[in-house]
This record gives sequence, C-alpha cells and structure tokens, in this order.
Amino acid sequence: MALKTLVRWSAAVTLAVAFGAAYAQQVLTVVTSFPKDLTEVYKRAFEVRNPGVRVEVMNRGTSSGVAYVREAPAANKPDIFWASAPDAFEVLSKDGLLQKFDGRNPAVPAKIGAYPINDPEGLYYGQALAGYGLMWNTRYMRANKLAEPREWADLAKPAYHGHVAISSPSRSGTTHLTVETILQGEGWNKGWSQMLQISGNCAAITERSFGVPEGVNNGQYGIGLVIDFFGLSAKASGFPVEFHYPSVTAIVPANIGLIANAKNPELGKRFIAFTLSQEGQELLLDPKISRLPVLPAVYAKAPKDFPNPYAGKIKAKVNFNSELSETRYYLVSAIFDQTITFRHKELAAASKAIHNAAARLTAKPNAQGQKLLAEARELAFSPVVGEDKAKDKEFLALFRDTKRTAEKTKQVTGLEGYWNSAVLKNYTRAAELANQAAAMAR
Amino acid sequence: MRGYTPGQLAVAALIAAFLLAFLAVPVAMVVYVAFAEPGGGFTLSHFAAFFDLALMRESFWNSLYVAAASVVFASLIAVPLAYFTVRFRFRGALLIQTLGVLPLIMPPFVGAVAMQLIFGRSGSLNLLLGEWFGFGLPIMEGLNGVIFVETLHYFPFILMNLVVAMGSIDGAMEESAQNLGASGWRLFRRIVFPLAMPGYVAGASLVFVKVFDDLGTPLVLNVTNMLAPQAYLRITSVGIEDPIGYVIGVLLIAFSLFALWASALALRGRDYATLQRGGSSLAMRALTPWQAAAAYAWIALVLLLVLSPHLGILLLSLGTVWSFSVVPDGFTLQHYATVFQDSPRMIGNTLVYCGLAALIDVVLATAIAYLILRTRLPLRGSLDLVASAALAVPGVVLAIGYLRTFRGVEIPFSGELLTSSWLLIVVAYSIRRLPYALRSCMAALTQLHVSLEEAAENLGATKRRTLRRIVVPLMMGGILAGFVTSFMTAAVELSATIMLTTSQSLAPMSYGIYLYMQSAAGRGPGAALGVLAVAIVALGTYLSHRFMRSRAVDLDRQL
Amino acid sequence: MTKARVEAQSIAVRYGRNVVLRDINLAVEPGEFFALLGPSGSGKSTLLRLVAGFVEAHAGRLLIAGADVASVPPWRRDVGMVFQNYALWPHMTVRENVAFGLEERRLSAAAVAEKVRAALELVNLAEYADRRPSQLSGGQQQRVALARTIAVEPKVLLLDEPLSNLDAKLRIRMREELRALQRKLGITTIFVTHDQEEAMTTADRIAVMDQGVIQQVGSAMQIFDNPANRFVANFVGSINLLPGHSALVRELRLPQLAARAGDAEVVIRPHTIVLARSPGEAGRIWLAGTVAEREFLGAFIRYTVEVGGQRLVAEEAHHLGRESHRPGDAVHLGIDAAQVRLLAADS
Repeated sequence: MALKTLVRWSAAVTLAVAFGAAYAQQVLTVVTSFPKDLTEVYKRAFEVRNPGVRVEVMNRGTSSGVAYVREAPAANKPDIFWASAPDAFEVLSKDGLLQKFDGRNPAVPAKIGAYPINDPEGLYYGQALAGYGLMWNTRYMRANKLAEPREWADLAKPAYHGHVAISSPSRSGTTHLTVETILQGEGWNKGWSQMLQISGNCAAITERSFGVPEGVNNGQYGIGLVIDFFGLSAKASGFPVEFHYPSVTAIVPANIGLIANAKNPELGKRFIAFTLSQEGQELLLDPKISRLPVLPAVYAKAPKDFPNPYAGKIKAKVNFNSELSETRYYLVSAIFDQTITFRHKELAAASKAIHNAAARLTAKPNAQGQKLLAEARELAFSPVVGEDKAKDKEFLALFRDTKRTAEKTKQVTGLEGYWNSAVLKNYTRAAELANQAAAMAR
Repeated sequence: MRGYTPGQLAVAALIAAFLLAFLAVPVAMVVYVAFAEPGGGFTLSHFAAFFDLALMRESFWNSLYVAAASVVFASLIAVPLAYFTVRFRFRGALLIQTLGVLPLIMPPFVGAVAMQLIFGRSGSLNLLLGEWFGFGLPIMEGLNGVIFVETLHYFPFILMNLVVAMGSIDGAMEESAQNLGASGWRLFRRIVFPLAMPGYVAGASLVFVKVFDDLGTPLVLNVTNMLAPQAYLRITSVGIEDPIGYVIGVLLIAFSLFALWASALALRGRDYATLQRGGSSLAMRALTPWQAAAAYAWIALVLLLVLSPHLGILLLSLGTVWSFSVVPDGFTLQHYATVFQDSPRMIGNTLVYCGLAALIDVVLATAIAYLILRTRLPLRGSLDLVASAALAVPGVVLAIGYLRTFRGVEIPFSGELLTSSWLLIVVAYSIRRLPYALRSCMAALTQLHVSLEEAAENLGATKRRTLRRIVVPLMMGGILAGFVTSFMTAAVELSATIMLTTSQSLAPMSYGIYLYMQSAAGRGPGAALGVLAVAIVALGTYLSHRFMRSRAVDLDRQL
Repeated sequence: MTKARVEAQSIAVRYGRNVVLRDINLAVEPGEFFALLGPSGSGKSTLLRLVAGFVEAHAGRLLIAGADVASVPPWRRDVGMVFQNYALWPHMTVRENVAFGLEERRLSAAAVAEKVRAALELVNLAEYADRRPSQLSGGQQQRVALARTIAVEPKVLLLDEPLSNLDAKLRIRMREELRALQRKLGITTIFVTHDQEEAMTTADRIAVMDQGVIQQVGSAMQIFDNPANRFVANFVGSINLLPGHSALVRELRLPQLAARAGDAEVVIRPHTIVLARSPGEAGRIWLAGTVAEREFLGAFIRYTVEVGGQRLVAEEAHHLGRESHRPGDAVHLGIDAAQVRLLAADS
C-alpha cells in the first residue's frame, strides 16, 4: 500500500512540477536544422541575458522544418526559423509563412560577393555565411594513396571511385544547395552529368547531411561534399580531417527569420537581434561550431587559419540565384532521388565499369571500344529531364504542390517511377557496353 | 448480480475509451487516409501509386528480406545455444543465460553507431583484416548492417522461448523414442524439435515483427530503402498529407498482424508442455571433450559478437578521437562530464515519461486482467484483444496516426498543441507497452485462486476493498515486473519518439542520443548517454527478475 | 451468537443451458448442523455457494433469518464460509488473516485484538498467531480458516468439504472438534461433503443430493433405514438390490411385497444377513449358497455369496474365535424379512 501511495504522490508531484515549469516562463520556439552544439550555445547565451525566458529548440531537417512550419495550426506557430539553406527561406517567403520586420544590423554588409545577405523584403536575415566544399580524412587518403582533390570535377576521376560520399538534396538542405550550385555553375546538362559522375564514384548516398561528415570523421569514407562548418568544426575538434573550398562554389548566407503569426513576435525579434549582434556573432567562432560570421569585425577575433570571405580568400565563382533554385526545388530533389539515390548501386557499378574500360582503352586504344565507351557514358551520365522541360512552368508546378489529389499523386509518382526504371535500364546497359568496350582493348 | 457491477462497467468503459482514443482511432485514421481520396471516397489509387514506385517496391521487399534474414541468423545463433543449455550438463549454462540477456539491454540504434566503428568499412575489424589478410568483410554495408545489428539484438527472443519450450518436454517422450530405436540427429529432428516448435515459432514471429517495424536502426545506419524509414521520411519531408506514408503504415500493420496471427495459429492446440508434476524433463548428458570444445568455442564467438556493441559504445564514450583506427587515439572522461552538465533534463524526461507510461500500463493491465478473469462483463475479451493488438502496431505508424488524428487539437486551458506536448509521448509509450504489462498481470492473476477473494468478500470486504487488500498485494510481483518491463522498453524506444518529440527540451534520453550523434563533437557524449541508458536498462532487468522470483516463491506456497 | 434459519424455496440454478440445481426446497433450523451429501456434480457446493452469495438463483427464493437475500451481495450477508482449500492469504500472518473480517466491520483496534485472541483460543492456535500460513500444517490451516470465520460471529456457518484435504486419522479428529465447537457456539451450520461417514457422524440432519436434486432429507438413521430411492439407498451404506419379481425374492416370501401392488425392488443391507453352515434361527428365511469372495475389513468380514444365480453381499462382525468361511464353502444366508426395504421399481 505504501508503495502505491508513494508512486501516486511522485507521479502527482512530477506532473505538477512539469506543468509548473512549463508555465513559469516565456517560451521562444525555434525551428532549426542546426545541430545541438550550436543551438545549445545560443540557447544558454540568450537565456542568461534574458531571465524568465526559455528557448525551445525544435530540431528538424530543413525540409521537415519547412513542412512543420507550414502544417502548424495558425494559433500555434513557432517563432523562429533558422537554417542554412536559402532556398528553404524562399519557399517559406513565397508561401507567406514569414513575417516582415526591420531587424537589420547596419554593421552587416549588404552583399557577399554578388549575393545579398539579407532578404530585400525584410522577411529574413543572413546570420552566418556558408560555403560548400570538400572534406577528407587524411589517414584514409594516406592509407589508400589518394591525392587531395581541389575541384568538384576532380571527384569524377577514376581514382576516387568508391571513396566519396554525399547526401541527397531531398534529405539535406545543404546538399540541395551544393547540387544547385553545381547546376547553376556548370549549367543544367553539364551540371547533372558531373553530379552523376561524382555520384557514381560515391560509396554511399547518406540519409542525412550529417552522414557525410560523420562518415569522413570515422574514416568510413575518404572524401565528402560538405558544408564548410562541418569540416572546420571536425578539424577543430581534433579529427584527422582537412577542408577545402573548390572554385565552383557559392558563399550563401544561413538565414534566420521570424515566422508569420508567431506566438512571441517581440521575443523572436530580440533573439534575431542577438544572433546578429557582436556577441551573438562571436559565438560562431566556437571551435565546435566554426561558422563564418556575417559581421566582418568578428573576424579579427578568429583563429589564424579561419577562412574569411570578406578578405577575398574564398574564390567563389557562382552567383547563386535562389529564385531559380526555389522554382525547381522539388524537381531537383525528385530527379536526384530517382536517378541517383535509389539507383545508386547500379550507377556505381556502371561507373566502375566505365572507369575500368577507360583505363584499358587508354593503355590499348581501340576506335570501336571508344565508341562503345562514349555511348556508355552517354547512357549513364545524362539527366532524365532535359533543360527545356526543366524550365516548363506547369511541369515544375506539378512537383511543387504538396496537397495533391489522388490523380496528381499518381502523375507524379508515375513520372518518378518512369525515371527510376528508365535509368535502371540505362545504367545496366551502360555497364554492359563499358564491359564490351573493355573487352575490345586487346 | 449480472456477473459485473456498475463500478466495473464504468472502469471497463473508461479503459475502452482510452484504447479507442489512443489506439483504435489513430490506427483507423492511418488506414482511412491510405484508402481515401482527398475529396472523400474510397480509392485504391494510393496503393497503386505505392506499388508503381520502384523505390517502394524495393523498400517493401527489403523490409521482408531483412526481417526474414534476421530470423534465420538469429535462429542459427539461438538454436545451438538452446540445445546446449537443455541437453548438456555443463557449466556454460549460466553464460548462455547471460547471453540471453545482454543484447536486450542495449537498444539497437545505440549499438549501431558502435558497430559501424568496429565492423564498418574502415572499422576496427576491417582495418585489421586489411592489414593482415588484405581483404575486408562488408558486414555493415547497406542491408547487411541492419541484419547484423538486429540479429545480435533479437536472437535472445528465440533463445529464451526455445529453452523454455525444450525444458518443458517430458523426458518420457524422448525415452520412449529411444526405446523404439531413435537417437542423435533423428531424435532431435523427429521428437525434440517438433515438440519445441511452438516455442520456436513464438520467438521467431516476434523477432520478425520487431525487425520489420524497426525505425531507429535503419535510420542510424543510413539505410532508407526499407518501409519504416520511408514512412518516416515521407511524412516528415513531404508532409503529413502524403498518402504513401499511410500506405506504408497499413502494410506494416498488416504484416505484423499476419505474423502474429500465423504464430498463434501454429501454437493453437499444440501446447506441448507435457511435463507432469513428478515427471522430469529431457535427460541431460555429459559432453565429450570435443563437444565441449566446440560448444565453448561457439559460445565464445557469440559472446564476442554480442559484447561488441557494448564495448564499442564504451570505447566511444571514453575516446577522444576514433577515426580510421582500430581503437580510439586517446581516452577522456570529458564526454561524461558534458552529458551530466547538459542532460539532467533528458534523463529527467525519460524518468517522467517512462515512469508515467509504466504506471498507466500496470493500472490498465491490472484492471483489464481483473475484468477478464473475475467478471462476466460482455465483450471483455475484446478489451484483451484490442490491448494486445497494440503489439502489431509499429511505433512509427502509431506516431503518424497521432499526428494526423490530433492535428490542431489543443490541450484545454493551456493553448498548447497536443501534438507538441510530451503527453502524447507518454500515451504512445503506454499504449505500445500495454501488451507486455497485460501478459504479466494476467499471469499473476491467473495464479491467484479465486477462493482467496471470495473468502475476503465472505468476511465483509466489498469487491473494491478485496481488490486493494488481497488481489493487488498478491499480484504485486507481476505488477512490478510489468512496471519494470514497460519502463525499460520505453526508455530505449526511438521509433515513436523520433516522430513525436518536437523540441529538445522535451527530449527523452533515446532522442537525446540520436541528436547528439548528429554532430562530430556529439558522438562522444552521445555514446556516454547511451552507456547510461544501457545501465538503466540493465538495472531494470535485474530488478524485474528479482521481483518475479521472490513473488513466485510466495505464490508457490499458496496451496 | 444468533441462530438463524436458512430456507430455500423452489430454487433453481443454471449455467447457460446446464441446469445445476433443480427445484430445491430446504429448511435448516436454527442451531442445526446440517449436511449436504452427494457425489461430485450433485450441486451441493453450488447450493452452499448460493447461500454465501457467490451464485445467483434463476428461480425461487433464499431466506436467511426470514429475510429474502437475493439482492444482498456476499459482503453483507453475514454468513461465514470455510473454503475447501482454506483460502488463507499468504501475505498475511495468522493474526492478520483472522482479524480481516473484524477490520472490515470497522471495530476498534482493541476489540479486534480481543476477538482475534478469543477465536484463536477457541481453535487452540493462540501460539501461532504470528506465523504465516505457509508455515502451518494442513490441520492447523483449517483451524485458522475456521477461526477467521468464527471471529466475526456470523449468522450461518458454511463449510465446503473442510476435511477432504486432511489425511484419514486427522479427519476423524477434526470432525469431532468441529462438532464440539458447533455445539458450543450453537451456530446454524451447513456442511458439504461427499463422504457419507462424515455426514452421518456429525450432522443432525442430512440432505442427500444427486444431479441437482434433493433426493431425501432426514436424520442419518432415517436415511439409512428408510432410503427414499435407489440412489439414496446405494449412496448411504452398501446394499443388495434385487428385482421384486426374481426367483430369489419370491423365495423370500416377503409379506410387504405381497401387499404391494405394482413392481418393486428389494433392498437388503449386508449387515442384516447372517451366515451359517446350516440354517439357524426360525425367524429368518434361509437360502443356500456358495462363498465366492471374502474380504477382511478388520471389524467385519464381507462375503460375496452366490445364491440362486445371483450374488449377495453379507457382512459379519469379526471376533476372535468366530469361525470364518472361505471361498468355495457352502453356506446358508439368513434373511430377516423385517429388515428388508422396498423401493418403487423406477426410483
């Protein structure tokens, strides 16, 4: 009996405390794709400066975060959206899910390169800068005798087959950005071709963006396509890794914005102001975080090798067009998933066969073989959707609507299914042709 | 007296309402959306769309394959071990018992990370193999990794069931067969194993269902082309309206139900526990030196495999940097410090959620057991059925059902969304753990002779007082065991947690571990938290055994 | 202790389509020690449980102390029941077990302690008050169960085969104690048993039951000497049963048979038959036969004798020096017509 009474009392007390605690304070809700290392630091710093306030962090991958904001009922919207991917903010702003206000820090420059740091309409603000690049594990590279890569295109080389890792745009806002950057930098067709070749060299297409730097940290993969802070923070934490910006890269802001109909708009504005202030920006220099601040003055306090985009140290060739990215957001994700992520095994096999054949034909040239090889490359490394189709507004709209009728769903899934099977055939055929070509090198 | 009192009817109604609101309706919602046209009306188009998608077909096939393969490998490990325990007189029996418990205290997704480090591409094993022999074993590649981790975690289900089943075979069965000329392999194949088959089937079907429904392990291993991860991914990234996610939910439930039904069918009318009072079980033999060596070798191998995630997690929690090397570079206690600094809230959350859920479970389970065994309430069997059906509902599907059913529902007086609150997490835990608590309480109540209650009533105690003074105290062993089991399994649950936990401050330990593992600097603390979780579960298992054993002795002495 | 009358009027009980008690009419007088006797399945336990309130009647009325108790739940009936397996609670000591009913009646702690002490003294278990049931022997457990029931001073005492779990010697001793206790307390007692010796030695009156029907009610001697039907005759004591029109019976030339119209069966108790080498006293009718079996039962010897194509069982008291016959011996059976009972042929 005593036991039962005790249990009952403990339950009651716990409940009271839990509820009590929840209602003693003002609560700021932040939806973010940033990892705990970063959110924890900001949360603590903000709460210390604002007693009586509690920061609720909701960890969501970028696309889940967007879906969450969209689906939250009007009376219960979160306050802040904070993520790396600018196109996610484009999506949110187009859908009217962000609130306009003037929270600009005048000390923050208007642009980075040709890219505006803050949204011209005042719906969101750049809070940190991010570039995309290559991260590799030095021990792995040494053990496998691999040269350090310098450009994306390097990763298509045969030597790197099976040693690369990337995530998928549908799972990772930053990968989406990377893919878009490449597509914008090299053009739709050439860009896809390069993506396919790189993916063919990949050991895995990871489920979450963090899977890539994690794998490189572990030594599971040799090289990964990552956002800069992953590489920088891992290196600062003592992992045997290096990070490098290739030239086909863009520096884009990671943004923070106030959500429309937020429960605590004033609190939200204060938080945003904090993240843009000198103190808030200095927090980014924490080795565990290692992100590039938007406030130029902060770089004076950065460690010696810390990259400084304002000092022109990062050669970013691409002027990222986030509007373009936004219109074809879902299409790009869908194409990548159907033709790369879900057919990765066959793509990698085709890739290997092609590398093999190329090596043999280099040693022993053969015209017929070359022709077959070229055909194989064509089959394996061409995008399923042509450049023109990709510009078709109706076609793009098909992928944008998330509330679909059964018919639309059928259409979309039908297309996806078609791509999927089409590339399966292509990759298998490509592998066959490549093997034939290799056989001809005698 | 109609065979029940108004009070009992009220309790039954409350229980039914709870089960309805938090099990039947959400599951029905999932089924409904899978078959519904957005404008209303029945359609099979979502299913058609599902089977149209090559990825979905692949995921479907992969899930079946992984579940089946896990059962096969788990059997390969468990059957010899069970046989050793039951057949031979040797001191390794205790070791085998430990083997039967160790894997269960480590939640698979926690171990998965460690397994990557030990068995992965550049993990300890492959580095050594590469160095010494020049080849590697793709143990952790893709689906293999999932099968490997799940097998090592779930084989005890088959082992334990088989040991109990084989242990209740009357020795006379075997002796009569021997008397008629059978021996060795034939004896095993024709007599021993068939008689133990129901135990095997029970264990195997459970393993199948659990692997088929598991979300956490594939997610942590980056394997997305399976059904449960796909459901999670689609619902969270495409949106709560995505019908494919619901189609997957229906498939998951359907297969789980099928597996459970098939197992019940196989067991029906085949209760081969033939051991009579005063009879003895299968004769034990001594081992020849060769047999002993082989047995110990097998046990050692399995033990090593079973301990690897525990070891790996421990190393990870204590290691500074572990990258492309057999063991970490150096060791530190910093990660534990981080955890204790950052995570008292998470640990507190786990204690609150799991404690509440376990409390709800034992209260419900006791009530249901009492209603079923002590009243003649009409339809009481359906309470048992519905409560037990929760076994067939995967965590991810229940979570989807909640998110959809309670979308926009606010908690009264608070302005907070139900789907953003921790209450839903507690409910999800309690619903999914209820079948275990129910089994525990039913067993305890069955052992209680009804005359003990009648004697109390006869002496003036009403049914309620009898419940309080006689029934519950005498059931306490089963109740406590049920409480502990509920608590422990909820503490390491990830599937529903990952979908229902909206913010970091609400996160229990399992979600916390998952979050930590998302950054390079977080792996150490994540592993440290994992070690803590394992410690809690181990403690709980031990306590549960103690309760069951002490109460069993008490009840045994009851006439 | 109050003495209550227990009365069953046309009570019927069924489980589903299975009729367990049929038209039961019974009255147990205040202070009476009444036995329900019958084989398993006869419904005697069901009737007892009906009185306790654990079984509901589908027809008829049950009156305790003149009041209809159909709507009264078990915990308010104030009838004390001792269960076949004693139902002692293993998590309570003897004292706590006995105190239970008193605590339910909200007596003061002092009153409870006093009554518990008194009850335990009554059954001679005062020193065992702080033991647990598992530490007691079968007989001691039974006494605790009894003490527990008596402590609350119920209107009626119900005993459900209380002695069947005890070994033979203990059983005899316990039934004596039970009877003595009941006489001392004067409480109306209903006692269920399948053992006819138990019923006959302890009860004031017995109801013999079979298949849910009361076959006969009466004192032990009444039932034994004048069984109402074949079942009762067979169940209480052993009998020789012969068809009225058989050759053997006609040889007996029973006056009561001649005076009877219609068919009858003849019941002869084995102990009323005398064996002798040659026909003896005149008041008996002597039949010649051969000893087929012989069983020595200590106090008497049971002979199975072949007579005129039939087998009759005769029991004879055994003393030292008395002659005993062996199988194969020719003997004569002496039957006293006054000891013979008749039953209707279809009873």
